[in-house]
Amino acid sequence: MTLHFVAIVDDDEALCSSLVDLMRSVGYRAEPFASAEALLMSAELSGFGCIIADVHMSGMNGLRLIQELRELEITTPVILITALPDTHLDEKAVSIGAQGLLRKPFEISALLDRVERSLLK
Amino acid sequence: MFLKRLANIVRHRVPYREQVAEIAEQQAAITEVLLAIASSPHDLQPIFETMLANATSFCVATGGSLFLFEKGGLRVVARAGPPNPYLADRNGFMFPVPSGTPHAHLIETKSPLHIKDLAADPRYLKQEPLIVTLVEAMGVRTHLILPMLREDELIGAFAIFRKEVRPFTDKQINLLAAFAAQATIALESTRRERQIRELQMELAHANRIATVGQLSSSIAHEVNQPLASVVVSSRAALNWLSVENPDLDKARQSIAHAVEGASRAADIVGRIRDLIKKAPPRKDLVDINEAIREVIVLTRGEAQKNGVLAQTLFAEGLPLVQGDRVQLQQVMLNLIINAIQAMSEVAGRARNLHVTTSRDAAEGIRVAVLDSGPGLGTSNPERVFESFYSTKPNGMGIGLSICRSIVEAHDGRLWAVSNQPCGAVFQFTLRAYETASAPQPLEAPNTHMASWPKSEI
Repeated sequence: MTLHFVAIVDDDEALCSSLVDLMRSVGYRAEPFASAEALLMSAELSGFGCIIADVHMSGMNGLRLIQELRELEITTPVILITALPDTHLDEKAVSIGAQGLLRKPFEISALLDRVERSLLK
Repeated sequence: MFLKRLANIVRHRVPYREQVAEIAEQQAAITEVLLAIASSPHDLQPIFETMLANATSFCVATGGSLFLFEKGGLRVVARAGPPNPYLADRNGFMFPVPSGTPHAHLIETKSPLHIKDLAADPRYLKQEPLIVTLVEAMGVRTHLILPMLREDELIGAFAIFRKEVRPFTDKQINLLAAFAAQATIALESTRRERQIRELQMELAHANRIATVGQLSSSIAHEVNQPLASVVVSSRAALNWLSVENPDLDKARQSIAHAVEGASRAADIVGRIRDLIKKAPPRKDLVDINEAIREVIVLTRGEAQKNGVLAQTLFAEGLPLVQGDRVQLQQVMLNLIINAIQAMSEVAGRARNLHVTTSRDAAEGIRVAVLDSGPGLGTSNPERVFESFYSTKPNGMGIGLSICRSIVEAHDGRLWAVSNQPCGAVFQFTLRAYETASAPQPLEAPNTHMASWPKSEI
Protein backbone atom coordinates (compact mmCIF):
# COMPACT_ATOMS: atom_id res chain seq x y z
CA MET A 1 0.00 0.00 0.00
CA THR A 2 1.52 3.31 -1.01
CA LEU A 3 0.37 4.97 2.19
CA HIS A 4 2.69 2.88 4.28
CA PHE A 5 5.81 3.23 2.20
CA VAL A 6 8.69 4.94 4.01
CA ALA A 7 11.88 6.23 2.40
CA ILE A 8 15.04 6.49 4.49
CA VAL A 9 17.66 8.90 3.21
CA ASP A 10 21.06 8.82 4.98
CA ASP A 11 24.62 8.56 3.70
CA ASP A 12 25.53 6.53 6.79
CA GLU A 13 24.86 3.11 5.32
CA ALA A 14 24.65 1.30 8.66
CA LEU A 15 22.10 3.67 10.16
CA CYS A 16 20.14 3.75 6.94
CA SER A 17 19.75 -0.03 6.88
CA SER A 18 18.92 -0.07 10.64
CA LEU A 19 16.09 2.39 10.04
CA VAL A 20 14.79 0.38 7.08
CA ASP A 21 14.85 -2.71 9.31
CA LEU A 22 12.96 -0.86 12.04
CA MET A 23 10.26 0.32 9.65
CA ARG A 24 9.78 -3.17 8.26
CA SER A 25 9.65 -4.66 11.77
CA VAL A 26 6.65 -2.48 12.45
CA GLY A 27 4.97 -3.60 9.27
CA TYR A 28 5.75 -0.77 6.87
CA ARG A 29 7.36 -1.03 3.48
CA ALA A 30 10.71 0.73 3.45
CA GLU A 31 13.55 1.55 1.05
CA PRO A 32 17.01 2.94 1.73
CA PHE A 33 18.60 5.82 -0.22
CA ALA A 34 22.26 6.74 0.15
CA SER A 35 21.70 10.35 -0.85
CA ALA A 36 19.02 12.96 -1.42
CA GLU A 37 19.91 12.92 -5.10
CA ALA A 38 19.25 9.18 -5.28
CA LEU A 39 15.81 9.68 -3.74
CA LEU A 40 14.94 12.45 -6.19
CA MET A 41 15.82 10.16 -9.08
CA SER A 42 13.66 7.34 -7.77
CA ALA A 43 10.74 6.22 -9.91
CA GLU A 44 8.60 5.79 -6.79
CA LEU A 45 9.20 9.30 -5.48
CA SER A 46 5.57 10.27 -5.35
CA GLY A 47 4.57 6.97 -3.78
CA PHE A 48 6.19 7.45 -0.40
CA GLY A 49 3.92 8.06 2.55
CA CYS A 50 6.76 9.45 4.63
CA ILE A 51 10.42 10.35 4.19
CA ILE A 52 13.02 10.20 6.96
CA ALA A 53 16.12 12.16 5.96
CA ASP A 54 19.40 13.07 7.67
CA VAL A 55 20.08 16.79 7.76
CA HIS A 56 23.82 16.53 7.17
CA MET A 57 24.88 14.57 4.15
CA SER A 58 27.72 15.09 1.70
CA GLY A 59 26.06 16.48 -1.37
CA MET A 60 22.49 17.72 -0.96
CA ASN A 61 21.47 18.02 2.68
CA GLY A 62 18.08 17.29 4.26
CA LEU A 63 16.91 20.90 4.32
CA ARG A 64 17.65 21.36 0.60
CA LEU A 65 15.83 18.10 -0.07
CA ILE A 66 12.64 19.50 1.45
CA GLN A 67 12.94 22.59 -0.75
CA GLU A 68 13.47 20.46 -3.85
CA LEU A 69 10.45 18.32 -3.04
CA ARG A 70 8.36 21.45 -2.58
CA GLU A 71 9.45 22.73 -5.96
CA LEU A 72 8.44 19.41 -7.46
CA GLU A 73 5.12 19.89 -5.66
CA ILE A 74 5.54 16.69 -3.70
CA THR A 75 3.83 17.01 -0.36
CA THR A 76 5.18 13.87 1.30
CA PRO A 77 5.93 14.66 4.94
CA VAL A 78 9.65 14.69 5.76
CA ILE A 79 11.03 13.89 9.19
CA LEU A 80 14.57 15.18 9.68
CA ILE A 81 17.18 13.45 11.82
CA THR A 82 20.53 14.86 12.87
CA ALA A 83 23.52 14.03 15.03
CA LEU A 84 24.64 17.60 15.54
CA PRO A 85 23.24 19.56 18.48
CA ASP A 86 22.97 22.81 16.52
CA THR A 87 20.00 24.61 18.04
CA HIS A 88 19.37 26.75 14.97
CA LEU A 89 18.30 23.63 13.16
CA ASP A 90 15.04 23.53 15.06
CA GLU A 91 14.02 26.91 13.68
CA LYS A 92 15.17 26.06 10.19
CA ALA A 93 13.35 22.75 10.24
CA VAL A 94 10.12 24.37 11.37
CA SER A 95 10.34 27.21 8.88
CA ILE A 96 10.94 24.85 6.04
CA GLY A 97 8.03 22.67 6.91
CA ALA A 98 9.66 19.52 8.18
CA GLN A 99 7.43 17.18 10.12
CA GLY A 100 9.91 17.13 12.95
CA LEU A 101 13.60 17.17 13.83
CA LEU A 102 14.96 14.33 15.91
CA ARG A 103 18.45 14.08 17.32
CA LYS A 104 20.50 10.92 17.27
CA PRO A 105 20.55 8.70 19.11
CA PHE A 106 16.84 9.24 19.26
CA GLU A 107 13.88 8.01 21.15
CA ILE A 108 12.59 5.27 18.88
CA SER A 109 9.05 5.71 20.16
CA ALA A 110 9.13 9.38 19.22
CA LEU A 111 10.33 8.50 15.74
CA LEU A 112 7.76 5.77 15.20
CA ASP A 113 5.07 8.05 16.50
CA ARG A 114 6.01 10.79 14.03
CA VAL A 115 6.15 8.29 11.19
CA GLU A 116 2.72 6.90 12.02
CA ARG A 117 1.18 10.32 12.19
CA SER A 118 2.78 11.28 8.88
CA LEU A 119 1.54 8.14 7.18
CA LEU A 120 -1.99 8.76 8.35
CA LYS A 121 -2.12 12.22 6.79
CA MET B 1 94.70 12.55 38.46
CA PHE B 2 96.16 9.74 36.41
CA LEU B 3 99.22 11.76 35.57
CA LYS B 4 99.76 12.29 39.27
CA ARG B 5 99.65 8.58 39.86
CA LEU B 6 102.03 7.93 37.03
CA ALA B 7 104.31 10.49 38.53
CA ASN B 8 104.05 8.74 41.89
CA ILE B 9 104.93 5.45 40.34
CA VAL B 10 108.03 6.84 38.70
CA ARG B 11 109.05 8.59 41.89
CA HIS B 12 108.62 5.66 44.22
CA ARG B 13 109.53 2.97 41.76
CA VAL B 14 106.45 0.95 42.74
CA PRO B 15 106.03 -2.09 40.53
CA TYR B 16 104.39 -0.16 37.78
CA ARG B 17 103.14 -2.83 35.46
CA GLU B 18 100.19 -3.56 37.78
CA GLN B 19 99.52 0.10 38.42
CA VAL B 20 99.48 0.99 34.77
CA ALA B 21 97.32 -1.98 33.96
CA GLU B 22 94.74 -0.92 36.53
CA ILE B 23 94.73 2.66 35.35
CA ALA B 24 94.35 1.53 31.78
CA GLU B 25 91.46 -0.65 32.87
CA GLN B 26 89.77 2.26 34.55
CA GLN B 27 90.27 4.45 31.50
CA ALA B 28 88.79 1.79 29.31
CA ALA B 29 85.80 1.44 31.62
CA ILE B 30 85.16 5.18 31.66
CA THR B 31 85.53 5.38 27.91
CA GLU B 32 83.00 2.61 27.58
CA VAL B 33 80.52 4.53 29.72
CA LEU B 34 81.09 7.69 27.69
CA LEU B 35 80.51 5.73 24.51
CA ALA B 36 77.30 4.33 25.96
CA ILE B 37 76.14 7.86 26.77
CA ALA B 38 77.08 9.14 23.33
CA SER B 39 75.15 6.43 21.56
CA SER B 40 71.95 6.83 23.55
CA PRO B 41 71.65 10.29 25.05
CA HIS B 42 68.03 9.85 26.02
CA ASP B 43 67.75 6.26 27.12
CA LEU B 44 69.69 5.88 30.31
CA GLN B 45 69.19 2.16 30.69
CA PRO B 46 72.18 0.99 28.59
CA ILE B 47 74.33 3.55 30.36
CA PHE B 48 73.35 2.26 33.77
CA GLU B 49 73.92 -1.30 32.74
CA THR B 50 77.35 -0.51 31.34
CA MET B 51 78.33 1.39 34.44
CA LEU B 52 77.30 -1.43 36.71
CA ALA B 53 78.90 -4.13 34.59
CA ASN B 54 82.17 -2.22 34.69
CA ALA B 55 81.99 -1.62 38.40
CA THR B 56 81.29 -5.26 39.17
CA SER B 57 83.97 -6.62 36.90
CA PHE B 58 86.55 -4.11 38.12
CA CYS B 59 86.21 -5.22 41.65
CA VAL B 60 85.75 -8.88 40.84
CA ALA B 61 82.40 -8.89 42.59
CA THR B 62 79.62 -11.47 42.37
CA GLY B 63 77.01 -8.88 41.64
CA GLY B 64 75.77 -5.40 42.33
CA SER B 65 73.09 -2.78 41.96
CA LEU B 66 72.96 0.77 40.77
CA PHE B 67 70.47 2.98 42.59
CA LEU B 68 69.15 6.43 41.92
CA PHE B 69 68.19 8.47 44.95
CA GLU B 70 64.63 9.63 44.44
CA LYS B 71 61.97 10.97 46.77
CA GLY B 72 63.86 9.93 49.83
CA GLY B 73 64.42 6.35 48.74
CA LEU B 74 66.76 4.33 46.57
CA ARG B 75 65.34 3.16 43.26
CA VAL B 76 66.97 0.19 41.57
CA VAL B 77 67.80 1.04 37.97
CA ALA B 78 70.26 -1.68 37.08
CA ARG B 79 71.36 -4.96 38.57
CA ALA B 80 74.10 -7.40 37.83
CA GLY B 81 74.68 -10.89 39.13
CA PRO B 82 72.44 -13.78 40.15
CA PRO B 83 68.65 -13.31 40.01
CA ASN B 84 67.11 -11.99 43.17
CA PRO B 85 64.00 -13.81 44.41
CA TYR B 86 63.25 -11.05 46.89
CA LEU B 87 63.04 -8.17 44.49
CA ALA B 88 60.56 -9.54 42.01
CA ASP B 89 60.72 -8.60 38.34
CA ARG B 90 59.52 -5.07 38.82
CA ASN B 91 60.74 -2.01 37.00
CA GLY B 92 62.03 0.79 39.10
CA PHE B 93 61.66 -1.09 42.35
CA MET B 94 61.97 1.28 45.29
CA PHE B 95 64.49 -0.26 47.66
CA PRO B 96 63.22 -0.17 51.21
CA VAL B 97 65.50 1.71 53.60
CA PRO B 98 64.53 0.76 57.12
CA SER B 99 66.61 2.74 59.56
CA GLY B 100 69.77 1.06 60.72
CA THR B 101 70.35 -0.74 57.43
CA PRO B 102 73.45 -0.02 55.34
CA HIS B 103 71.30 1.82 52.80
CA ALA B 104 69.76 4.08 55.41
CA HIS B 105 73.28 4.74 56.67
CA LEU B 106 74.26 5.76 53.16
CA ILE B 107 71.40 8.22 52.84
CA GLU B 108 72.12 9.76 56.22
CA THR B 109 75.89 10.04 56.08
CA LYS B 110 76.53 10.10 52.32
CA SER B 111 79.67 8.13 52.97
CA PRO B 112 80.79 4.73 51.76
CA LEU B 113 80.10 1.67 53.82
CA HIS B 114 82.23 -1.40 53.57
CA ILE B 115 80.99 -4.44 55.44
CA LYS B 116 83.52 -7.23 55.50
CA ASP B 117 81.00 -9.90 56.37
CA LEU B 118 77.32 -9.14 56.41
CA ALA B 119 76.62 -12.47 58.13
CA ALA B 120 78.66 -11.34 61.12
CA ASP B 121 76.96 -7.96 61.23
CA PRO B 122 74.84 -7.23 64.35
CA ARG B 123 71.91 -6.31 62.10
CA TYR B 124 71.88 -9.81 60.64
CA LEU B 125 72.19 -11.36 64.06
CA LYS B 126 69.22 -9.25 65.12
CA GLN B 127 67.37 -10.80 62.15
CA GLU B 128 66.65 -7.46 60.48
CA PRO B 129 64.47 -8.74 57.57
CA LEU B 130 66.23 -6.88 54.74
CA ILE B 131 69.65 -8.01 55.89
CA VAL B 132 68.46 -11.58 56.32
CA THR B 133 67.23 -11.58 52.74
CA LEU B 134 70.47 -10.15 51.45
CA VAL B 135 72.50 -12.78 53.24
CA GLU B 136 70.30 -15.85 52.89
CA ALA B 137 68.45 -15.31 49.62
CA MET B 138 71.21 -13.57 47.73
CA GLY B 139 74.29 -14.90 49.49
CA VAL B 140 75.73 -11.48 50.19
CA ARG B 141 78.75 -11.57 52.48
CA THR B 142 81.18 -8.79 51.65
CA HIS B 143 79.16 -5.70 50.85
CA LEU B 144 80.30 -2.30 49.62
CA ILE B 145 78.04 0.69 49.10
CA LEU B 146 79.44 3.80 47.48
CA PRO B 147 77.51 7.04 47.25
CA MET B 148 77.23 8.98 44.00
CA LEU B 149 77.49 12.61 44.96
CA ARG B 150 77.06 15.75 42.94
CA GLU B 151 78.13 18.83 44.84
CA ASP B 152 77.56 17.07 48.12
CA GLU B 153 74.07 16.00 47.14
CA LEU B 154 73.29 12.30 47.06
CA ILE B 155 72.02 11.31 43.63
CA GLY B 156 72.52 7.58 43.74
CA ALA B 157 74.68 4.71 44.85
CA PHE B 158 76.71 1.77 43.66
CA ALA B 159 76.44 -1.37 45.70
CA ILE B 160 78.56 -4.43 45.00
CA PHE B 161 78.95 -7.64 46.90
CA ARG B 162 80.79 -10.90 47.01
CA LYS B 163 79.45 -14.31 47.89
CA GLU B 164 82.62 -15.10 49.77
CA VAL B 165 84.11 -13.15 52.63
CA ARG B 166 86.88 -11.22 50.92
CA PRO B 167 87.04 -7.53 51.64
CA PHE B 168 87.52 -5.18 48.73
CA THR B 169 90.99 -3.66 48.61
CA ASP B 170 91.61 0.05 49.14
CA LYS B 171 92.73 0.22 45.56
CA GLN B 172 89.48 -1.28 44.33
CA ILE B 173 87.46 1.05 46.53
CA ASN B 174 89.40 4.10 45.37
CA LEU B 175 89.14 3.15 41.77
CA LEU B 176 85.42 2.63 42.17
CA ALA B 177 85.00 6.00 43.89
CA ALA B 178 86.89 7.82 41.14
CA PHE B 179 84.84 6.00 38.58
CA ALA B 180 81.59 6.85 40.39
CA ALA B 181 82.51 10.54 40.40
CA GLN B 182 83.06 10.61 36.65
CA ALA B 183 79.94 8.57 36.00
CA THR B 184 77.94 10.98 38.15
CA ILE B 185 78.95 13.93 36.01
CA ALA B 186 78.08 12.07 32.87
CA LEU B 187 74.71 11.14 34.37
CA GLU B 188 73.94 14.74 35.20
CA SER B 189 74.61 15.99 31.70
CA THR B 190 72.19 13.47 30.21
CA ARG B 191 69.59 14.44 32.78
CA ARG B 192 69.31 17.91 31.27
CA GLU B 193 68.83 16.44 27.83
CA ARG B 194 66.19 14.18 29.30
CA GLN B 195 64.39 17.09 30.92
CA ILE B 196 64.19 18.80 27.54
CA ARG B 197 62.74 15.68 25.98
CA GLU B 198 60.27 15.37 28.83
CA LEU B 199 59.14 18.93 28.17
CA GLN B 200 58.80 18.19 24.46
CA MET B 201 56.65 15.23 25.27
CA GLU B 202 54.48 17.32 27.55
CA LEU B 203 54.02 19.89 24.80
CA ALA B 204 53.16 17.28 22.21
CA HIS B 205 50.71 15.76 24.66
CA ALA B 206 49.12 19.15 25.30
CA ASN B 207 48.76 19.65 21.57
CA ARG B 208 47.10 16.27 21.17
CA ILE B 209 44.63 17.03 23.93
CA ALA B 210 43.91 20.47 22.53
CA THR B 211 43.30 19.14 19.01
CA VAL B 212 41.10 16.34 20.24
CA GLY B 213 39.31 18.87 22.44
CA GLN B 214 38.59 21.03 19.42
CA LEU B 215 36.98 18.05 17.81
CA SER B 216 34.99 16.95 20.80
CA SER B 217 31.59 17.83 19.41
CA SER B 218 32.41 16.25 16.07
CA ILE B 219 33.71 13.19 17.83
CA ALA B 220 30.53 12.93 19.85
CA HIS B 221 28.74 13.02 16.54
CA GLU B 222 30.94 10.26 15.18
CA VAL B 223 30.18 8.07 18.18
CA ASN B 224 26.48 8.83 18.07
CA GLN B 225 26.14 7.59 14.52
CA PRO B 226 26.98 3.95 15.25
CA LEU B 227 25.17 4.18 18.59
CA ALA B 228 22.02 5.34 16.82
CA SER B 229 22.30 2.30 14.60
CA VAL B 230 22.65 0.08 17.71
CA VAL B 231 19.52 1.55 19.28
CA VAL B 232 17.46 1.33 16.13
CA SER B 233 18.50 -2.21 15.21
CA SER B 234 17.95 -3.46 18.77
CA ARG B 235 14.45 -2.07 18.75
CA ALA B 236 13.81 -3.66 15.38
CA ALA B 237 14.96 -7.01 16.82
CA LEU B 238 12.52 -6.66 19.72
CA ASN B 239 9.75 -5.90 17.27
CA TRP B 240 10.56 -8.95 15.15
CA LEU B 241 10.33 -11.09 18.29
CA SER B 242 7.19 -9.57 19.78
CA VAL B 243 4.66 -10.72 17.21
CA GLU B 244 2.68 -13.94 17.34
CA ASN B 245 5.04 -15.71 14.94
CA PRO B 246 8.39 -14.18 15.79
CA ASP B 247 10.72 -13.83 12.80
CA LEU B 248 13.90 -15.27 14.29
CA ASP B 249 16.00 -14.75 11.18
CA LYS B 250 15.17 -11.09 10.92
CA ALA B 251 15.75 -10.68 14.66
CA ARG B 252 19.12 -12.33 14.37
CA GLN B 253 20.15 -10.04 11.53
CA SER B 254 19.02 -7.00 13.45
CA ILE B 255 21.01 -8.02 16.49
CA ALA B 256 24.10 -8.72 14.41
CA HIS B 257 23.79 -5.26 12.94
CA ALA B 258 23.49 -3.75 16.41
CA VAL B 259 26.63 -5.55 17.53
CA GLU B 260 28.57 -4.14 14.58
CA GLY B 261 27.47 -0.65 15.48
CA ALA B 262 28.54 -1.07 19.09
CA SER B 263 31.91 -2.32 17.94
CA ARG B 264 32.38 0.70 15.68
CA ALA B 265 31.55 3.05 18.52
CA ALA B 266 34.02 1.27 20.79
CA ASP B 267 36.71 1.62 18.11
CA ILE B 268 36.29 5.36 17.95
CA VAL B 269 36.46 5.67 21.72
CA GLY B 270 39.60 3.57 21.65
CA ARG B 271 41.18 5.87 19.06
CA ILE B 272 40.46 8.91 21.20
CA ARG B 273 41.90 7.26 24.24
CA ASP B 274 45.08 6.41 22.34
CA LEU B 275 45.42 9.97 21.17
CA ILE B 276 45.10 11.58 24.57
CA LYS B 277 47.34 9.12 26.33
CA LYS B 278 50.69 10.41 27.36
CA ALA B 279 53.07 7.69 26.41
CA PRO B 280 56.68 7.68 25.32
CA PRO B 281 57.25 7.37 21.57
CA ARG B 282 56.92 3.85 20.22
CA LYS B 283 58.65 2.06 17.44
CA ASP B 284 55.97 0.07 15.68
CA LEU B 285 55.42 -0.82 12.05
CA VAL B 286 52.65 1.42 10.85
CA ASP B 287 50.38 1.12 7.82
CA ILE B 288 50.11 4.78 6.95
CA ASN B 289 46.90 4.47 4.92
CA GLU B 290 45.11 2.75 7.81
CA ALA B 291 46.37 5.28 10.32
CA ILE B 292 45.17 8.15 8.16
CA ARG B 293 41.78 6.52 7.56
CA GLU B 294 41.20 6.47 11.32
CA VAL B 295 41.94 10.17 11.57
CA ILE B 296 39.56 10.90 8.68
CA VAL B 297 36.80 9.18 10.63
CA LEU B 298 37.47 11.39 13.64
CA THR B 299 37.43 14.57 11.58
CA ARG B 300 34.46 13.63 9.42
CA GLY B 301 31.99 15.42 11.68
CA GLU B 302 34.09 18.57 11.73
CA ALA B 303 34.34 18.52 7.94
CA GLN B 304 30.61 18.08 7.58
CA LYS B 305 29.86 20.83 10.06
CA ASN B 306 31.95 23.22 7.98
CA GLY B 307 30.59 22.12 4.63
CA VAL B 308 33.93 20.64 3.63
CA LEU B 309 34.00 17.82 1.12
CA ALA B 310 36.79 15.45 2.14
CA GLN B 311 38.31 13.05 -0.36
CA THR B 312 41.15 10.61 -0.07
CA LEU B 313 43.44 9.07 -2.65
CA PHE B 314 45.64 6.41 -1.14
CA ALA B 315 48.33 4.57 -3.06
CA GLU B 316 48.13 0.80 -2.77
CA GLY B 317 51.00 -1.39 -1.66
CA LEU B 318 52.86 1.29 0.26
CA PRO B 319 55.70 0.07 2.47
CA LEU B 320 55.26 0.22 6.22
CA VAL B 321 56.72 3.02 8.29
CA GLN B 322 58.60 2.41 11.51
CA GLY B 323 57.46 4.85 14.11
CA ASP B 324 54.82 6.01 16.53
CA ARG B 325 51.32 5.58 15.12
CA VAL B 326 49.70 8.03 17.51
CA GLN B 327 52.25 10.73 16.76
CA LEU B 328 51.78 10.31 13.02
CA GLN B 329 48.04 10.52 13.54
CA GLN B 330 48.63 13.67 15.56
CA VAL B 331 50.35 15.22 12.55
CA MET B 332 47.41 14.31 10.31
CA LEU B 333 44.95 15.60 12.87
CA ASN B 334 46.70 18.97 13.02
CA LEU B 335 47.00 19.31 9.24
CA ILE B 336 43.41 18.33 8.56
CA ILE B 337 41.93 20.57 11.25
CA ASN B 338 44.09 23.45 10.00
CA ALA B 339 42.81 22.88 6.47
CA ILE B 340 39.16 22.74 7.59
CA GLN B 341 39.53 25.87 9.68
CA ALA B 342 41.29 27.73 6.86
CA MET B 343 38.50 26.87 4.45
CA SER B 344 35.77 27.85 6.90
CA GLU B 345 37.02 31.40 6.47
CA VAL B 346 36.23 31.57 2.76
CA ALA B 347 32.77 31.89 1.36
CA GLY B 348 31.56 31.60 -2.17
CA ARG B 349 33.63 28.69 -3.33
CA ALA B 350 33.71 24.95 -2.82
CA ARG B 351 35.53 23.72 0.25
CA ASN B 352 37.57 20.75 -0.90
CA LEU B 353 39.93 18.76 1.28
CA HIS B 354 42.11 16.12 -0.35
CA VAL B 355 44.33 13.71 1.54
CA THR B 356 46.70 11.64 -0.57
CA THR B 357 49.46 9.12 -0.04
CA SER B 358 52.03 8.05 -2.59
CA ARG B 359 55.40 6.45 -3.04
CA ASP B 360 58.20 8.96 -3.00
CA ALA B 361 61.07 7.63 -5.09
CA ALA B 362 63.83 9.11 -3.00
CA GLU B 363 62.37 9.35 0.45
CA GLY B 364 59.88 6.52 0.89
CA ILE B 365 56.33 7.71 1.45
CA ARG B 366 54.73 11.04 0.78
CA VAL B 367 51.53 12.28 2.42
CA ALA B 368 49.77 15.45 1.25
CA VAL B 369 46.86 17.48 2.62
CA LEU B 370 45.40 19.87 0.07
CA ASP B 371 42.80 22.52 0.75
CA SER B 372 40.97 25.22 -1.20
CA GLY B 373 41.28 27.84 1.48
CA PRO B 374 42.89 31.28 1.43
CA GLY B 375 46.35 29.80 0.85
CA LEU B 376 49.72 30.75 2.28
CA GLY B 377 49.68 34.33 1.09
CA THR B 378 52.75 36.09 -0.22
CA SER B 379 54.75 35.58 2.96
CA ASN B 380 57.46 32.99 3.29
CA PRO B 381 55.75 29.58 3.57
CA GLU B 382 58.32 28.51 6.18
CA ARG B 383 56.96 31.10 8.57
CA VAL B 384 53.93 28.97 9.47
CA PHE B 385 56.21 26.35 11.02
CA GLU B 386 57.72 28.73 13.50
CA SER B 387 56.70 28.16 17.10
CA PHE B 388 54.02 30.51 18.36
CA TYR B 389 53.15 31.76 14.87
CA SER B 390 49.41 31.69 14.41
CA THR B 391 46.85 33.40 12.23
CA LYS B 392 44.01 32.39 14.52
CA PRO B 393 42.88 34.64 17.36
CA ASN B 394 42.98 31.82 19.89
CA GLY B 395 45.74 29.86 18.25
CA MET B 396 48.73 28.86 20.29
CA GLY B 397 50.80 28.36 17.20
CA ILE B 398 52.62 25.25 18.32
CA GLY B 399 50.77 22.68 16.21
CA LEU B 400 52.85 22.93 13.05
CA SER B 401 56.19 23.11 14.81
CA ILE B 402 55.28 19.97 16.73
CA CYS B 403 54.22 18.30 13.48
CA ARG B 404 57.56 19.16 11.99
CA SER B 405 59.53 17.72 14.90
CA ILE B 406 57.45 14.53 14.78
CA VAL B 407 58.05 14.14 11.04
CA GLU B 408 61.75 14.84 11.44
CA ALA B 409 61.95 12.28 14.22
CA HIS B 410 60.68 9.80 11.59
CA ASP B 411 63.44 10.80 9.19
CA GLY B 412 61.16 12.88 7.00
CA ARG B 413 60.47 16.49 6.14
CA LEU B 414 57.35 18.61 6.29
CA TRP B 415 56.81 21.62 4.07
CA ALA B 416 54.07 23.74 2.52
CA VAL B 417 53.43 25.08 -0.95
CA SER B 418 50.58 26.89 -2.62
CA ASN B 419 47.78 24.88 -4.15
CA GLN B 420 46.39 25.67 -7.60
CA PRO B 421 44.19 27.56 -8.22
CA CYS B 422 43.86 28.46 -4.54
CA GLY B 423 44.62 27.10 -1.12
CA ALA B 424 47.61 25.35 0.36
CA VAL B 425 49.30 21.96 0.26
CA PHE B 426 50.96 20.66 3.39
CA GLN B 427 53.01 17.58 2.66
CA PHE B 428 55.51 15.39 4.41
CA THR B 429 57.72 12.43 3.64
CA LEU B 430 58.38 9.44 5.84
CA ARG B 431 61.17 6.95 5.54
CA ALA B 432 59.94 3.52 4.51
CA TYR B 433 60.85 0.64 6.77
CA GLU B 434 63.67 -1.42 5.32
CA THR B 435 63.51 -5.13 6.03
CA ALA B 436 67.31 -5.58 5.94
CA SER B 437 68.63 -6.20 9.46
CA ALA B 438 70.98 -3.74 11.19
CA PRO B 439 74.63 -4.78 11.74
CA GLN B 440 75.21 -6.52 15.09
CA PRO B 441 77.07 -4.53 17.78
CA LEU B 442 80.39 -5.95 18.98
CA GLU B 443 80.34 -7.99 22.20
CA ALA B 444 81.62 -6.04 25.21
CA PRO B 445 84.68 -7.67 26.82
CA ASN B 446 83.11 -7.72 30.32
CA THR B 447 81.92 -10.82 32.07
CA HIS B 448 78.34 -11.44 31.09
CA MET B 449 75.93 -10.44 33.83
CA ALA B 450 72.29 -11.36 34.14
CA SER B 451 70.22 -8.40 33.04
CA TRP B 452 67.03 -7.13 34.55
CA PRO B 453 63.93 -5.78 32.85
CA LYS B 454 64.33 -2.18 31.80
CA SER B 455 63.24 0.25 34.45
CA GLU B 456 60.99 3.15 33.53
CA ILE B 457 63.30 6.09 33.77
